[in-house]
Amino acid sequence: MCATCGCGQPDAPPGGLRTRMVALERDVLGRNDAIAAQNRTVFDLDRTFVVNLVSGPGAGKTTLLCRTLEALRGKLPLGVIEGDQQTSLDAERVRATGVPAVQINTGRGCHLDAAQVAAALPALPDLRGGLLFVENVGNLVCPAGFDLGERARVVLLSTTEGEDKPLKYPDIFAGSQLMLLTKSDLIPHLDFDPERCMALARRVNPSLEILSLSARSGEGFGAWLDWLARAR
Amino acid sequence: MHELSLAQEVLRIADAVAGDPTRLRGVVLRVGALGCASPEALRFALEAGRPGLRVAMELEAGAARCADCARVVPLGQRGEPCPGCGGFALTVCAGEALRVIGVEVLEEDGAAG
Repeated sequence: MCATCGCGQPDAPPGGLRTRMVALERDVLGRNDAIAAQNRTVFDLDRTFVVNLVSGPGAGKTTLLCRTLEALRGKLPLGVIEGDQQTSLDAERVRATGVPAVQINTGRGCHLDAAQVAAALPALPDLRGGLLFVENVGNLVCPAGFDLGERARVVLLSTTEGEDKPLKYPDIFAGSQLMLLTKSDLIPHLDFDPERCMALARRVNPSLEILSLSARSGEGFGAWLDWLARAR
Repeated sequence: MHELSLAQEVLRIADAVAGDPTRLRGVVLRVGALGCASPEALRFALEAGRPGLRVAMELEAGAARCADCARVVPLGQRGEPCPGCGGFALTVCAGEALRVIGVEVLEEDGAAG
C-alpha cells in the first residue's frame, strides 16, 4: 500500500508525486459571514433592530441592559439573547425585568457566532418592529471577528478598566459604532482620564460615537436611550 | 483569535476542493496584518492538524485611507498615526484578509509526468 495516500498502488518513485495548484478566493470566516447575512436579512424584513453588546467581563453589560429594558418595557417588543460560558444568571436577571431572554452557554467557547444566534431566534417571541439585544460573552478579543447579523455593535468600557484599552484591544473598538463609557459615577474615586480614553478610542475608529453614563446613578442614560431611538 | 478552529475551517475548505483529504497536499493562504489571526499560530495549528501539509502564506500589508492627506497610506497597526501627516483620520482599506487562495491537489494516478 502507498504510504503517502493509502491507495493500492506501490509507493511513488523518488521523483515525487505530481500535484496541481487550484486557485480560489475563499474567506476562512465565510461560513459565519453567510449565516450572519441571513440573520441580517430576517431582521431587516421583520424590522427588528438588533444590538450586539460587547465588552470585557464586568464592564456592566447586564446592568445597563436591565435598566434599558425597564425604561423601554411596554413601548415596543423586546427580547434578549444572553451568551456566557456557564450559568443562566444573566438571563434570569433579564427575565426579572419582564423581558424574554434566551441563554446560550458556550462552554469553553469565548464568543457567540451567527449560527448560535440563528438557533436561539425561534425561542423568542415576535419581535417585529422591536428591539433584540444580544449580550455577548465578556471578552474584548474574540467577539470582534464574528458578525452576528446585528444592526449595531456597541462596545462597553468601564472607568475602572483603564483608559488605554482601546489601543490594546483595537479590533473590537474599530468594529463598533458606539462606545459606552460605563460606571461614570466612579470617576471621582479613580485616576481615570475620560478625555484621553475617548481620544484613544477615536484613534482606532475615527467615526466611533461615544457616550459616558452610569446605569447605577442614571447620569447620561437619557442620551443612550435617545441614541437607540434615533438608530432604530 | 482561535487559530485551531480557523485551521479546521481551512482544512474543511481545502479538503472539499481536493475532493478528499488524502489528495490534499498543501494550502496557500492570504493573511492580513490587521486581521484577527496570527500567521505563526495558524501555521502551527495547520501543521499540527494535518502533518505533512505544505503551508504557504501570502501576507497582506495593512493600509488605510487618510481623510486629511486624501490618499491611501501604509498602516502597520491600528492606532498608529498616518505616516504622512501624523493624524488619525484613518479608515482601514487593506490588511484584514483571511482567505484560502490556493489548494495543492495530488494529480490523478497515471497522469503523464
